[in-house]
Amino acid sequence: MSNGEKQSLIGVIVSKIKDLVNDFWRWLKPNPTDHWVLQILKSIAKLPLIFLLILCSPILIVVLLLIFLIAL
Amino acid sequence: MSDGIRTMLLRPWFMGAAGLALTHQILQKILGIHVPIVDSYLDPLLFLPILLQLILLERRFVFGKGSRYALSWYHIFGVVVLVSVLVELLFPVWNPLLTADYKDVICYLIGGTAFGVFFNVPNRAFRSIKEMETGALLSNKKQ
Repeated sequence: MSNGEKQSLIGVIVSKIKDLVNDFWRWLKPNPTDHWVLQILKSIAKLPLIFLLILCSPILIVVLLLIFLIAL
Repeated sequence: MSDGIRTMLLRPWFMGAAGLALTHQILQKILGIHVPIVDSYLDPLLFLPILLQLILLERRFVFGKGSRYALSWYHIFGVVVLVSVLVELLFPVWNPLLTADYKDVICYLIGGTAFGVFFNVPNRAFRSIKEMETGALLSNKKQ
């Protein structure tokens, strides 16, 4: 497999993962017509994605690294 | 620096909190003036509002969410939980110089809640050019 083919394959995989996460995120949006049990389950299922979103914050990573390193 | 970023950084409460934290650090670490209750609780109380304001700034202007974006309660409490677990649970295990204190977690929670209630508001003083153009387009359409 050539370098260009590899890169396009990675691009396809990344876009598929993005689409899947976006679809899941859209499904997780609150819907008042949902059964209340499903609404609670959606709220719980949202937590891992929220933590992923928080961990993608460069500011948070830098601040936490500073706290850890200053004490060394 | 864009107007939106400047507006957020120059908010009186943010300047006050950052100034207070900095003054306390100078008094404690450089001048050696110790006030036990302030030394124990001021930094954890101010830490979350300052950090959350910076995260909000990042999401608005680095990730392009726009000046009217506000953090959800999920996001705020997610940061509180993450910071509490890392700083008060994991860091003291990895680094013996850091000490765990459950009272700090209460301070983080108070700071996070205060930010969510009082300071997590859309940037009213500043509207981006894109938003102004969109607003102008909408008002033109209405006419």
